[in-house]
Amino acid sequence: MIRLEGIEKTYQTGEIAVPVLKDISLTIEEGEYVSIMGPSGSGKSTLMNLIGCLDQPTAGSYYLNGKEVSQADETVLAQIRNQWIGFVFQHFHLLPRMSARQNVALPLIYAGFTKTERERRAREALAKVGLDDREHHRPSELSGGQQQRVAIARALVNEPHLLLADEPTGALDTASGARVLDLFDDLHREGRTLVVITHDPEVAERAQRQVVIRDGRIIGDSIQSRGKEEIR
Amino acid sequence: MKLLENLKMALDSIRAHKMRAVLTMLGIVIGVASVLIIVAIGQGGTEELTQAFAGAGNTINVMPNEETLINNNGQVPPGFFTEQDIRDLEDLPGVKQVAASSYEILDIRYRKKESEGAMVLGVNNNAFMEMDGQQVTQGRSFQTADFLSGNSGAVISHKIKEDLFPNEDPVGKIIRIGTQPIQVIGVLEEPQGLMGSFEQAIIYLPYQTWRGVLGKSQINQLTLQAESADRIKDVGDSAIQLLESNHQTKGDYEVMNLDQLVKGINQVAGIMTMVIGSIGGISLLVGGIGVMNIMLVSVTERTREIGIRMSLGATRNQILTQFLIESVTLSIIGGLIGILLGYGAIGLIALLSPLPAVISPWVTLGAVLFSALFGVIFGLLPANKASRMNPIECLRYE
Repeated sequence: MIRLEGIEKTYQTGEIAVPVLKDISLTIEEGEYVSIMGPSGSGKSTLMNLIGCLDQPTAGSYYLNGKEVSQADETVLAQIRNQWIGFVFQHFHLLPRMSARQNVALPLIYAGFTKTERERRAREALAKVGLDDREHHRPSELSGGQQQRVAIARALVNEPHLLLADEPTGALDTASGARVLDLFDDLHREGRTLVVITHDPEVAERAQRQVVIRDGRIIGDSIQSRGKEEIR
Repeated sequence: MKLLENLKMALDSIRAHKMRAVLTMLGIVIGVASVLIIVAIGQGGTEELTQAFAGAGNTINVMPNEETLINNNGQVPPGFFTEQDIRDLEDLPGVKQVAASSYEILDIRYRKKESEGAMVLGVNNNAFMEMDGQQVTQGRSFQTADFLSGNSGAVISHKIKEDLFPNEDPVGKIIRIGTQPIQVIGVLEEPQGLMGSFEQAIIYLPYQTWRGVLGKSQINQLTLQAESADRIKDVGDSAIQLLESNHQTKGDYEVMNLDQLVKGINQVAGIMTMVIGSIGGISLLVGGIGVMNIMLVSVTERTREIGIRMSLGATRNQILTQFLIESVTLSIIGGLIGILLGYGAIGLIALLSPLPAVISPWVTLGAVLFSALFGVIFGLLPANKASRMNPIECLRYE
């Protein structure tokens, strides 16, 4: 599903080159629920941007669904984001002037669906996150937890291969956060691939596999340590 | 993504910032309206001017050439036009009618009132008035007997009626041309439009009567009316030939081709319209820059939206299209409001002033296309800026 090989990312600030990711290799299989954990400045956001095809690596290869995307052009990347990836952000990133349903339907516009089809799918996605009674509400009329569920519905509406969440509970109270994580568990049980980026160990614990990143390097991966334990 | 989808999105976004949209459009509205008004007044004025100079239509003035005029102190020499000439010209193919006239400038009196420097015209038929498209509103015009008798009455222009008979019916009253008494038999209508503002005091007499009243015999002016506009040149040429052979001269007669005059007027008015119109165009340009300005602000303000849309799969082209359509929509709406405003103002001007205003569908179409074009031109920079944004930075933008 996801295969990163020797990924490096260096930012050029003036004369100084700042390496953010150093030799990252990571494979995530279809249906896995993986958390990527690390302190701020560890490079986990950069990693998420790369996995989410919002950015491209300085070196290394990235295979998504078997397709090498590290050298793809912008239009192809936009299509990949649209068709294969669903984003969930810390601050929800809903468009304030649109209703919940319109927000959810947004990726379908870029996918070229007809209006009736968009409405049908958006309603289904909202029902899936338990907000079918809120479809005409604007984000400002919803609680933080509800807004995040609308954002999850938006991420799911185009049936992506990968759900990519960046601190999904970071702006939520404990109860709302728990509800979002429960929803992730459900999605995992349905066989979806989830990657959650967080600095919160409790959130990371909910995933089936934990990857820890620090100073641009992967310093821990529960699947490997488990593997080692099994070998031992 | 479909155009309709983009259009709906643009309208939503414009509706979300109504006040700003209205202020942005104002430049385009004023620009389009002023261009329309200026062109309408220009065209209307040209038409009016043309009609005023060319008369109701297709007239040709025959005059002595410049040298002859100078040698005779600016006067038409005696015997230059004869009654035989008039009869011969009337038989020319393509000639509808011939108006011959003689004139003197004299004061006209009625009791204590005076109309100074009136033009006393002797005419050979009603053609003169008809060519100017003027109708007799009170009394009657000349009849055949009037032209033959030598002691007919006079038809006066509206200006003379105003001067001498502000509160009376002039028909049947005796007025004096110099010292000679003459009865008023008819009054011409008030000239309409632009020419109304400098209407003349004219008194018309049948030629025979004119000779009696003024005690002299001469024809100062010959005006031919061609059957149609495209025969003006033919008729003019053959009239010159005829006059030259009647008088055994060469080059003494000239026609003042009104066709040329009209073309001249059109050219001058066209240049004027263009000059003033381009001032309106400049305000349209300023309006366009206003649109660009607001669109740039809008792009910055919606940085996060751009990031979200990109993360959800919008390509750079789709973002570009979205903002471009927004600015075009803004410009076109502004243009349409400008057209409505312009039409309203044109109607008002036509209603309240003697200036006729002509609405041109081509200029209107041009205004719409022009404002759309402005939307594209001035939308390109902001839209391009939006499409080149980095999605990661956009998402981080607070």
